[in-house]
Amino acid sequence: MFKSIQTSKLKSDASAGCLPSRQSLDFALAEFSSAIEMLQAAKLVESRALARGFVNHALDEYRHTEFFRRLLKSSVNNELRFDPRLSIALGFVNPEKFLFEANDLTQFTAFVAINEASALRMFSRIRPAITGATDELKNEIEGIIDDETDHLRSFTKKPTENIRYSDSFVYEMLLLDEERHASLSDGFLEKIASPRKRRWLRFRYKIGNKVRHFWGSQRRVQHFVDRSISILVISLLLPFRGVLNFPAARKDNLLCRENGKFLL
Amino acid sequence: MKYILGVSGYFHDSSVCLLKNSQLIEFVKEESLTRIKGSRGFPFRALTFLIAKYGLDNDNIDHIAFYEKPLRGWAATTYNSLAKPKRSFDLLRSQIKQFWSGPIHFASEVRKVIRIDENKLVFVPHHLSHALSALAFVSPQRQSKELLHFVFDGVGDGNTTSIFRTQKNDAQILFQQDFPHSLGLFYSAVTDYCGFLVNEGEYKLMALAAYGKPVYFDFFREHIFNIEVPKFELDMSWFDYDVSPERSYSDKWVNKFGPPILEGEINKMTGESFERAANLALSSQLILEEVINSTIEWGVKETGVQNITISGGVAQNSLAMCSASKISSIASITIPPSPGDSGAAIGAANFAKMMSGSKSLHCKEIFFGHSQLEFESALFQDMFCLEQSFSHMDEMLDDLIGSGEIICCYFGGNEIGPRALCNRSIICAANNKKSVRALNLKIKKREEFRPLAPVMLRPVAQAWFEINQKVSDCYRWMALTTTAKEKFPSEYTAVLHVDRTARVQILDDEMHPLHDFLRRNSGKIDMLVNTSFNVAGDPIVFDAIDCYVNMSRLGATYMITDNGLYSLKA
Repeated sequence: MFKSIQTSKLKSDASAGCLPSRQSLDFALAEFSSAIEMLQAAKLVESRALARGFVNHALDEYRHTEFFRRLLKSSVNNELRFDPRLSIALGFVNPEKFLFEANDLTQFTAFVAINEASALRMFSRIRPAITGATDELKNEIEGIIDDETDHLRSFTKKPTENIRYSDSFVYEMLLLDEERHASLSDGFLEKIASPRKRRWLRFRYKIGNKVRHFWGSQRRVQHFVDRSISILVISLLLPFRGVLNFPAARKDNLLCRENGKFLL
Repeated sequence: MKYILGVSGYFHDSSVCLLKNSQLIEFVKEESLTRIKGSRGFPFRALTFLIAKYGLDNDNIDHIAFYEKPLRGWAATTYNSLAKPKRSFDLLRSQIKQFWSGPIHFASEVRKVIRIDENKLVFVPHHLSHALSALAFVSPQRQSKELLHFVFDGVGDGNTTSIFRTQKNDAQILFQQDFPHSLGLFYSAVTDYCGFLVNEGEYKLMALAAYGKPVYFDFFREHIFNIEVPKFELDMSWFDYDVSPERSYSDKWVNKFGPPILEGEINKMTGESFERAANLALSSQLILEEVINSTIEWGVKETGVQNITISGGVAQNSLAMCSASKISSIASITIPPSPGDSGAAIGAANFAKMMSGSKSLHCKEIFFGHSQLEFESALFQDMFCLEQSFSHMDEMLDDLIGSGEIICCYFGGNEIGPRALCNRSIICAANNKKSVRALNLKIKKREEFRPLAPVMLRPVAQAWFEINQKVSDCYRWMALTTTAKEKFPSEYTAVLHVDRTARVQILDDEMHPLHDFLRRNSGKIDMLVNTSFNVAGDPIVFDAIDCYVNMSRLGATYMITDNGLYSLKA
């Protein structure tokens, strides 16, 4: 997971034995976004070995996305839906410049290492929610897991006929994946960057994460600022409403240069 | 060498098309490159991809045509919302944000990618873009005659339904319906209420209709729709799409039809929620068809023009298109392969071509661009193993499909519409019920209530399905559904929906490898099941890495290509 979500209430929610649907959605989007980032990195990187590594990492992240989507779907009375387009709208990913394009390989690796370690910590905190889920939730997850077994088999490449994956098992696999991603990125970073550069990059991304998480958690402040500006602009617009009522489209031949000239 | 670029974007399904010397040669969806389905911003990556591939610059580009009038669209919605600012506050907020980052800035966004003269940018009225995209798929003989173009849409430039009349290089507006009275947005509101994503789940609602009873049809007619052909008005107290960017239906709707339905409840295919959703799906389908058909009948009667096209987002409803094709007063109908916003990029480019007096674009092909598979590259060979070369793969392919194997296909250029047409498809034998079921539920993980589409040769289609000659060409790209005949063979019923309809694809292209397969296996396997080559919710594959990732996620082993039959390496 790259651009991790805000985590202020994560531990207390998880202790209560449930993972709120909003957090399941955020986790799903974060995992999905990192799958996209890894896929793009695989397409852009020159090294064949790295490309294969990024592809495998992307496959793991897609699998994690599915896990959180299942949790989201099984939430009782949940109206939230996973929509991949939200990954752009909520700023998890910027399709105009993916991370691998915005950073060099060293920076990209450092970013991945820091954020995978952060994801591991965050996922560890939700253990109570996964293992302490209500019976109803567990039953629902088990039902979905039945359908998912075949799908998972293709990733694990293990002879798993007649084995049902439990949600706890999938979750433990997910933790192992994150640990592996973090240590692989860390190891690779050690090879390509000097200790001084590593320290600087780690510092930079840790601070960056903290600032992002802090701002992400200030939803009330954001809401207040957003509403205030909107009210001001709408009040200014209201007297000029009539200006926005443009005349109907032209009645003569539409297939002419003049008809294509303007924004109106 | 002269090029014209057509661009659609900012709302859903952004895409770019390229005309070279007046021929459509490329069509690239932004989602293919971002790998995020329904990517809807400025098509930055698609544009960059084409510029790099063809060396485009200010000298060799004639025009870059955008598929709408950005300021008109923004102003129409804002004007409407300002009438009730308190209720529309959320929508107004979204409109304000869009003013700073939306399509109004198209010109400056283009200039971030390519330096282009101001006068080369063209802004085409949105519904005219739709109409001209349909015109591009009309035969040249009919293009020169008078044509009526019906556009049924959500909203574009403040319009929701339009009728145009064209003859050669002349186009006139016959009728336009304004926002908020919109067929597309009505159907999306029901989609939203039934737990599906707007601009994504409408085809699921359409599939659900076959399980329902029209119990709400009369209510819709009496209380929600006021139809005075060609106009119709909606009682907006039932909807919120004109005041909120978040929810399409109002509290009044919830009070009448009950609490919103969750997608999970529908997937169980049983229970009160499923029944309610199916009944709503059928009732809304019927009212949609009534408005479309009556509008078409009015247009034909008013003008006497019997050759028509239908486009706009609502034209993706293949069930409604089947119903429209049965209108007796029509001589011919063309529904383009990509009637929605994505395909409108073609219409915008066609406008730029026609505005200087040139003839309309005519597209014979339905696949554009080139294969992105580099068979000789080390990475490709790392991921895939060549089992049989193209010239020697027939026997193995016949054995694999005959034994129930599910095969991925990747040939030549890509489809331009939302439907996979055998170039980026996953196929299996349609008479192998076990394979069909596995493909639908286990591999693609589609909802059980959604049918899979069959592909076959024309003689088979004519023998087993009601093929309407007025729309004969449109079966090549699955533009409409059709009904199975009485004598339809029982071993193929897995491809029929519960109401015995199917969205048939007729494969006419004799050069296509699957045409060859079907001819070779005639009498043994007469139909293949065809679904898109992607994981549900993801875009269709674009390059080799996408193929590898999608096949791994789907658990598929084999892929046929222009170079031969490959298996996935572990």
